[in-house]
Amino acid sequence: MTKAFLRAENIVSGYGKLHVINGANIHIDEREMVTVIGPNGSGKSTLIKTLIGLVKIFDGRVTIRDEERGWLDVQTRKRQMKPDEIIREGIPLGYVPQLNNVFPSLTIEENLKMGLFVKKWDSYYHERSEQIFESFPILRERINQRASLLSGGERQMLALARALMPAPKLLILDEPTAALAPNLAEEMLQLIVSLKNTAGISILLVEQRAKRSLELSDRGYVLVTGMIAAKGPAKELLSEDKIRKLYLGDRAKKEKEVG
Amino acid sequence: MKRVDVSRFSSLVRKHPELLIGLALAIPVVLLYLYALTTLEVKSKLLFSTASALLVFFVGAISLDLEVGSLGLPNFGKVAFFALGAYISALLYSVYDVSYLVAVITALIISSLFGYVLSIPTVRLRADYFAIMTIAGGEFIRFVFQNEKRWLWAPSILPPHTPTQIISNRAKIELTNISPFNMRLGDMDIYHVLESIENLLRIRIFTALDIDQLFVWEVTLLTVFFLIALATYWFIERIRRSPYGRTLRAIREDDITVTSVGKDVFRFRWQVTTISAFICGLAGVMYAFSFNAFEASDFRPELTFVLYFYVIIGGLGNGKGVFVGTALVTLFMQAASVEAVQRNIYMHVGPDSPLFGSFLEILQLDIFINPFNMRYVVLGTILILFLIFKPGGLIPEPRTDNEKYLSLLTPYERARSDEAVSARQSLTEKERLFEGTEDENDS
Amino acid sequence: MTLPNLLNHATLALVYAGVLIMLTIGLNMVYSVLKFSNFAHAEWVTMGMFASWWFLQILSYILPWDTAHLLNNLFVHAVFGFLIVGIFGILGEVLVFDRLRKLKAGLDSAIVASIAIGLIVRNFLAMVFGAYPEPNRAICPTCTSQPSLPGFLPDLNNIVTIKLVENDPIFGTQWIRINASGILIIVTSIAMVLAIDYVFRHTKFGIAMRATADSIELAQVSGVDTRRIVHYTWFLAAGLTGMGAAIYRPYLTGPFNSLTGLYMLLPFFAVVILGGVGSFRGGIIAAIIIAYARQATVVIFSWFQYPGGLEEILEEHIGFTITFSPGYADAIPFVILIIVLLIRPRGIAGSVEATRERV
Repeated sequence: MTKAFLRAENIVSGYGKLHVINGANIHIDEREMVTVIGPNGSGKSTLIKTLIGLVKIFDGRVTIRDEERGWLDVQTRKRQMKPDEIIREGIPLGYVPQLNNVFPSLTIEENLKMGLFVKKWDSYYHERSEQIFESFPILRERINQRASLLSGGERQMLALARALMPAPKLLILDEPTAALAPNLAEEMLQLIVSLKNTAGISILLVEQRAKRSLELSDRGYVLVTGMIAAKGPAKELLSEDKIRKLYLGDRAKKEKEVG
Repeated sequence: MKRVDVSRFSSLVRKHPELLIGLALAIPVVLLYLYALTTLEVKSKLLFSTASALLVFFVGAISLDLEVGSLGLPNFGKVAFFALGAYISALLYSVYDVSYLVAVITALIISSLFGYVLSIPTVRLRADYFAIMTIAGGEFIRFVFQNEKRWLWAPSILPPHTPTQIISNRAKIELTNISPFNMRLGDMDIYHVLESIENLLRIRIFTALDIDQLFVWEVTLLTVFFLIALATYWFIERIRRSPYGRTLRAIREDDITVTSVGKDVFRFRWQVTTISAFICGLAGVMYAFSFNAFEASDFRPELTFVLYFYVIIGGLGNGKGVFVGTALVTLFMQAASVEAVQRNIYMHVGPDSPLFGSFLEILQLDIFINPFNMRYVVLGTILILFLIFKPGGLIPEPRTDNEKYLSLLTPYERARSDEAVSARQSLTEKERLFEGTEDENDS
Repeated sequence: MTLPNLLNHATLALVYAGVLIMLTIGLNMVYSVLKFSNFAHAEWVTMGMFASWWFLQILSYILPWDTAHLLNNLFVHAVFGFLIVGIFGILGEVLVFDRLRKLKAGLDSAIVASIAIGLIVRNFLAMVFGAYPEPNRAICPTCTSQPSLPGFLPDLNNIVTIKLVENDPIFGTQWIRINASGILIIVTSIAMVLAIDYVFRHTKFGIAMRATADSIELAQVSGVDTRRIVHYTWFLAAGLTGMGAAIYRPYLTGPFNSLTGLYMLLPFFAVVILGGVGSFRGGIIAAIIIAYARQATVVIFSWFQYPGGLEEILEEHIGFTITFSPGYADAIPFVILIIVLLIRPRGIAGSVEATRERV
């Protein structure tokens, strides 16, 4: 219970009167990769939207480095920080949504600039973009193309690159491998792991490819109907029978059990 | 006795909150109309024009409602079909000497043909492009009637009979001149029956409204219009209740799903556009009887917009709502266009007014608040209020009775369907509420 | 057979193209950012005309000594038109469109709402400033209704005439004739398009605006205050339209009234759809095409009506003809709209498809 980078305690959140998350505890340490898995409709996306402040919290609290911000909001967070502060220290959280994660009619350069939507962005853009292009060489080649011309994998890259522009300490990814071919998905996951290893960014991942992402992660959570059903080091979760059966095992078995 | 009435009324209001809004709109409108009636010497003139406008526009509005309410196609070119129906029937009869029945049938055929032709390039378009294209189509028809002097202009009544844009409606003029249609109701035997009813009830309602001053042709016309309106209403409600109507509503809600079950959405769209064009052409033929003579500039896009007032205030997707909307708006429009009302309800705020005169002189303002313009301001405001606060209108579309169809399913299918419905509902609820929280956050 | 005065027709068409460019920028902006067609745009034009005319009246009344037009000039009126109409643009968003969007109302309710707003504004203007057929109502009879440029600039009605040929047996009379007002329209329209195009492409505000147009949610997550962007878009779009209307007004020969803008609505939509939603440079090309097509219709159709023209030839040889009236010029936008939507629904350089999403 010491020195967690982000800690969410007993959070209850949802839309209007509808509670989707019912008292979840979750924490992410620095330089750690955490995966959240769970069946469809268990509230995975809502959980991370709550963490970044897109969904209102009814109860509980979210802290970053033990500093409480009940209402974490990417927008206001960015506006409160001075541009050079962002460049020097980076913002706490970066977020890559699941769908519609690039601006199709903007060029790649403009997309990256949108990641750095701060005052006087031009001076910082070059500094940051050079670092980004080292990890994503393909984007440098197509800098003036519209994002709508990119392939699915390249779009995901761009979305990731845009989230990395303001140098987040913790990157929150909502199913980054959805709608990608298996080999591209593997590439994507490897890229995310390398971000953790080289740049020292913590990763919170929500994944459908539960087995593979747990293998790469340090720890994992299993979310069922808005509550944490199981947690622990990824290796342990992988070997646990019940979870294997429900989320990692073969489909025929699961169908039989359900209906 | 009274207490029972009140409680019944309040429970009614609780059940149908629309009733209160309806009354709030209807009472001032009826009062204004009664005021307009008192200013007139022959009150039945206004009654006739109101009743005929109501019936004509009801037919037009219900044909629009079939497109907008049932299918979700915002057709803004209805005026074109009014113009085609009115023009072609009048032109063929008065200039080309075709028999009136043939003239009307030709007008209806041309009108539905134009509806079909216009639908070819437009049914694939997004709603706003569809709206622009139909407005343009309506304007195009007007340009044709304005410019085609060789074929579509009529020789003027006075010598030297040069062609003019003005078409005189010979059918109406003849109708008003033949016996017995040119007689007043008061001179007919049947009026004595009305009088005896009056004496029996001891209310002098027919006398007060100058019913005896009505011409026989006016009564006949109203009867025919009423029958046409009733038939149209019956026909369209019949379409709505049929499986065909259900498909239309399904297309309105989600055209992609309907395509995925193998229905050709575009075919339904052009069919409805054509049917609606036919009915609207009929309304146009009826509309021609409002005038002794008319010209192309009588058919401006405003006519279509007025139809939207009827449909949206009354309630999209059901004939009763359209009738209520048409009745309310027509009463209001007719009352506001009475000359005495225009003269009396009138406010002039200018430099010579005692209150802010000098202020207005500096501002160089000289404002005439007149009913003619004010009625559009009022109607436009009411329309927007309805769109925001009561999108269903005064009488919302009745919900389909799901139970009837669900009972056909096997228990397993039933369970699956319930699951899907609840998932769908929670999803839409989520989406809506999500929007709400975001906005709160913003402000 | 002599040629008609083609050069003069070309000049007229050029000015008309300028008017179309100037007055469709706002429509295009609203269209591309908010994805719906604003039918109240016509009333912004009318309102801009009335606002600038009204300010002229006020200024002439309170500043009678300003004969050099240092304060009471067209540019000041145009700025006033910009502010007034811009504020009304924001009002429409706050009072109506924002609420409709929150209700998740469909595209058609937004269209109906914009038409209703147009109707309200049109009739409101008619009550305040005078309705059709009465032109604008001035209470200060000595005040002029024609604005002027500042004293050191030429009068707006100064006509430049360049005669190339006169009474030639083949070419007839060919001249270019344009007044200062027409030149001002052309210059302003080009300047406005270049400025807006620059803002859209290269400034942070423009990129944020396009990002909002792409996806409101993602723009919010990226730190854009989308509500403010939407308000600025309405203000700028309405304001530029009001300003353009103020600059266009002195060019009108006859009086204007509360319906003037409405009559131009269809050409506006034709320009935006032909040019492509979101593309201001496409709009220039589209405006030129439509203006020249319109003027060409006038020339050709009146030529058909001359003795020995097509109408007579058809009558003689086939025994049937229709009337080729120059009045059909007003139907040209409709014809162009149909052709565009059938052949290339995206327009010349647009990004929005006109057709419904296909399965």
